[in-house]
Amino acid sequence: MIAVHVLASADSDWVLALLALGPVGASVFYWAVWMSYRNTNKSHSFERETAIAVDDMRGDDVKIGTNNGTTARTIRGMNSDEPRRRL
Amino acid sequence: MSDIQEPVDTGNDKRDGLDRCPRCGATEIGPVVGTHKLQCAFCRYEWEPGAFDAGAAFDVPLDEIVGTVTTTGVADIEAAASTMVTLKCQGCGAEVVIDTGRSLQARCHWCRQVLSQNTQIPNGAVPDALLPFTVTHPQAVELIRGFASRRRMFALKRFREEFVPENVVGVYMPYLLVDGNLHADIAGQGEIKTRTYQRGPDNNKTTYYDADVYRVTRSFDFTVDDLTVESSSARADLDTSRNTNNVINTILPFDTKNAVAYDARYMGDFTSEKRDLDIAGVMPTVRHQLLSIARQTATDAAPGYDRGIRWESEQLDVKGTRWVAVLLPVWLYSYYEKKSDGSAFLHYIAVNGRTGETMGSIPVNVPKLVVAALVVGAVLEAIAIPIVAASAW
Repeated sequence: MIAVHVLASADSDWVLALLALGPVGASVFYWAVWMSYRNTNKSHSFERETAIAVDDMRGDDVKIGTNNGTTARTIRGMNSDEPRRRL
Repeated sequence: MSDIQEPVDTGNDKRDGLDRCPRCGATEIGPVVGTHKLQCAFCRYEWEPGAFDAGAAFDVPLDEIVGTVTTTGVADIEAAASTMVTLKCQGCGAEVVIDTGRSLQARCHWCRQVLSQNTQIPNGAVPDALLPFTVTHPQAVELIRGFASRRRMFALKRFREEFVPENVVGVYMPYLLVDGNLHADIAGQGEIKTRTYQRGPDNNKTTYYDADVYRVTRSFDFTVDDLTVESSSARADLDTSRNTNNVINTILPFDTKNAVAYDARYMGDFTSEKRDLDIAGVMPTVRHQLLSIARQTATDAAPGYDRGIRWESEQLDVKGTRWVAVLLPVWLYSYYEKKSDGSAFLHYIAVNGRTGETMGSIPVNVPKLVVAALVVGAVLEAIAIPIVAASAW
């Protein structure tokens, strides 16, 4: 009943999202099982598991402006979580 | 990169052919799996040949390496050098051919003594050092059985029927260990969130963010110890649309600091693969990995940017590198999947012969998985449609 109430007051996005549940769920299930069996996304995490020693770390952090009123959760073009992607 | 220095000789003082037990002189010598010992099968004498020591050039601290320091084990492979090597048996004088692409020992077919390839012929077969197997065959069988049993439901029927983990084989795989003395300059922009707020009607609010933008630079020296890269071109190909070599790559790293000096008598019943890539051949991979390490290091050194960083430039200055060729122990279970179009695809389950880390590729019964996914989708839709229908009223 609570769900129905919420939906009744929501716009058509919620309806579409609910109707997409089946196709999305099927795709996610297929992908998850496939990856668990074939492990095609696995490789040695050399960037974290290699022994390194860092010395003389220098650098600047200079404020150059603002990015106000954005709806994006992260900086545009963020790649700090993708060390293997070459620039 | 700077000049290449004279390679350090790591063991060409030994002769090829008969390599005898120090106590009784027999050649029936093999590894005691689980230890670093060798054992004579004739008199049962056990001994430990000793750790790998490349000498003074390799005692230099990592941050003082300059130029390219190499050993004779990583010498460039000569195009004309054959994998087939003929050894003269000192026992009876017969000439015995060894396929060094598969093994570094052979039994003399006349006098039955075991012959070893010890010198570093310029075909890449003989490394500087190796890591003996410490995971035993029964342990590897159990690890592979456990890995596959957790993935039975959607495995190809023929794979399940033909699954015999006892067929796992121990293989010494060729790798290059790289030490590096490096400098990196990484720069980009990062954002720090200053405010989060919502706007819009009550039933359709949108979240907005304010952020300060910073110019971020990081410049640092770093050293890398024993970066491990495949030195067989077949294994270095990690294209998952063509092969499953990535699962062998995933079981890295090895405890390479415990490597022993190369001794063919560690072969026993194991096979070996041959290095066919020179330093120049693996350099693009090594450079990519070093840059990736530098990028990760720069990111770790800029922790305050909660909206992330967009790195825009990266530079690597290689002051010096040091290279060693090793054979590392891998238990391999393989399965040829014959596809309906007539092509074949080789799946591996690999076990790290030191740590027991296991990774594999299990062939999937695609029609069965498609049906299961459709059932999952139908169940979810059966839940969703009544809710949508009720909301329409």
